[in-house]
Amino acid sequence: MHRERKDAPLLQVRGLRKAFGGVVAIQNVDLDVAAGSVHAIIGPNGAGKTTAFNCITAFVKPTGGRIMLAGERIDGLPAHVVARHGIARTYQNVRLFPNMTGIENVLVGQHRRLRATFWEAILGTGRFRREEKEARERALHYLDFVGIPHRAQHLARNMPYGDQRRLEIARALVGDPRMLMLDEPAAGMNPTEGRLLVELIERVRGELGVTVVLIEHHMRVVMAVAERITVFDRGAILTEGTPGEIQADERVIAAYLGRRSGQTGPAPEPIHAVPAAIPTLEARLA
Amino acid sequence: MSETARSATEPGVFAEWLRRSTWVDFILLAIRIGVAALVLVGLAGGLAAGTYSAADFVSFTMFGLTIGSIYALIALGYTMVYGILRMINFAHGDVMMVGSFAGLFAAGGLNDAGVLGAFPLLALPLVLAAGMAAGALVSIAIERIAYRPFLHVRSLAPLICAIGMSFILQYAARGLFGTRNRAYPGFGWMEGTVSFAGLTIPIPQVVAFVAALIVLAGLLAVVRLTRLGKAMRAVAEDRDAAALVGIDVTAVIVATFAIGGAMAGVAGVLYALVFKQITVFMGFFLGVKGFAAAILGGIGNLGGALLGGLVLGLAEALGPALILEGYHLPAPYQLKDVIGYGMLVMILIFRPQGLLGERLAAKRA
Repeated sequence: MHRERKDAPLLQVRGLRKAFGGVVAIQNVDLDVAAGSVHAIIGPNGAGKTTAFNCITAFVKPTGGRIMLAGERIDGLPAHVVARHGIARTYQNVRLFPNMTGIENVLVGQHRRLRATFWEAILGTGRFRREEKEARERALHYLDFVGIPHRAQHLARNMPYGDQRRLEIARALVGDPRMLMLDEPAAGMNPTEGRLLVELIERVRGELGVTVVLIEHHMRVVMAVAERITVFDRGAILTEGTPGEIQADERVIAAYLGRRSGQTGPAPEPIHAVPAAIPTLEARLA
Repeated sequence: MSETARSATEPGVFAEWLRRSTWVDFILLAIRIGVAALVLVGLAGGLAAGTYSAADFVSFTMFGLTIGSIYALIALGYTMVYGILRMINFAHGDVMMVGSFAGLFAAGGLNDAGVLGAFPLLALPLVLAAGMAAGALVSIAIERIAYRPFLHVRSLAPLICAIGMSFILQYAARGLFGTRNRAYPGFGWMEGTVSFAGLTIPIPQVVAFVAALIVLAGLLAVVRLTRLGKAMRAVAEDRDAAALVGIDVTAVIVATFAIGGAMAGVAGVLYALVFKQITVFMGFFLGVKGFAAAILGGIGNLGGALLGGLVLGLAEALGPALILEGYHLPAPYQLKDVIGYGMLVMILIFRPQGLLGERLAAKRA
């Protein structure tokens, strides 16, 4: 499973395990994400994809295993310290600061970049004002980057869903992360919005040089944007490869569509998007 | 009765209202009419009796603003902690008591050292600083002991732990300082009154009001301008999302308790200056007043805490003279709490979210 690659992995996960009481959510998860790549994680519902994300971002504490970012161990650190190491993320169900405006959300995302002290802020010194101005300009720049410059003064909770997702990405990007982790960014998007998202992810990688890891069910998006795909099934990694390899893999299709008869265990819930998406993908890649 | 008001122009409004109403509506209506009648009759009677002059009412108003600003300082501590943790800090009143006693000992020390006599103007900030420091420290300890262990657990345990902390502080103070009333040594310049546009106002009231305004302005500046303020808002809205943009949630919570405690310390010192005497049990009733002010204004809302404090203070100061006097009660001022809390209950019946609060359903949806 570990193919030799010339670029050093930015993220290295070894033997990751998470149990909630007696329920093992994930085990033996090894994952290498190459710097500057777009890496997708797919798999049926309940396969442990989000749990893996949560462990990497220290949102939950892993039960075992090691997580390294650029060669430095980050497992066991508190969430805000992991964030300061340069991992930013979005959530499956958007988690913005709902009663703040668009620009305020992005300003909070710059928290760790700001240096002005308490007294400088109270006294309104030159440095504080300069920094405040820069922060606003940066915030506006990133709102523009994700395509919602007109949302700066709107409350996050009043924005349409698609714009909330974009705002969440802007908030994640403004802190200059090394790696951006997107949890189902295309959920609830129509095909046009999906295409725009693919474009945005390509610009995040191309223009900002940020490595992107995404969990996604929309195969159209995954196949268009990912260089490597890791498939999760029942809390472990089923396989990993390029989009072409994954599409040709019988086991992946079996995992999505349920087991053939004779295999034990309950069939995992099939993913609504896949049966419809796979034929179109094949047509696209042919 | 917003329904009746809205449909007042349509025909058959009364029939429509009757059709829609249940016996609960009738009882509520009866309460409203009853309270309105009580207030109006009292008001008319009081004004007719003419016991108090206009100048008296102005001075009652000044007193209401003074005590109201002290309530507001206490209310801010409740509302800040609630905003961040969605929990009430039931030991907050006793933090204020500790601040008040710290101010007492600081003032005593300064008096013995002769500083109070030599530099009476300098002594006040020092006494306030002692109250703030003590309040902040005790508040941080409460966070560490009663709240931190439960940070990631959905539990009401912190509430009962905070009540425990309240008793610990109260009875520790009782054991150490005794139950008798204590008074700050006199600051010479604060004994008199100021005359202003024909009014005579005791200096401590002016000092307390001005000091409270300065502290409140400082707090608003912190919340609006600083990184800490932004981080506090972010943690209040979504603690996990805040951590994932690099905010140290624990540090923000500690800072919130410290600021709330410092303001309670200021409130304790100002209370002692205005009312001249303090006891180890003052934390309970003033804590309840501050809590009531926070709820009245809309808990979780800083402006609401300020407004709630002032409204409660004014109701207590003006209510007895305005309303109860008309009923020729023997000692109307003894009933100020009846007025204050009666008003609290009435406002919350009509506006459960408080004066400036948002409806919880809308906010959390």
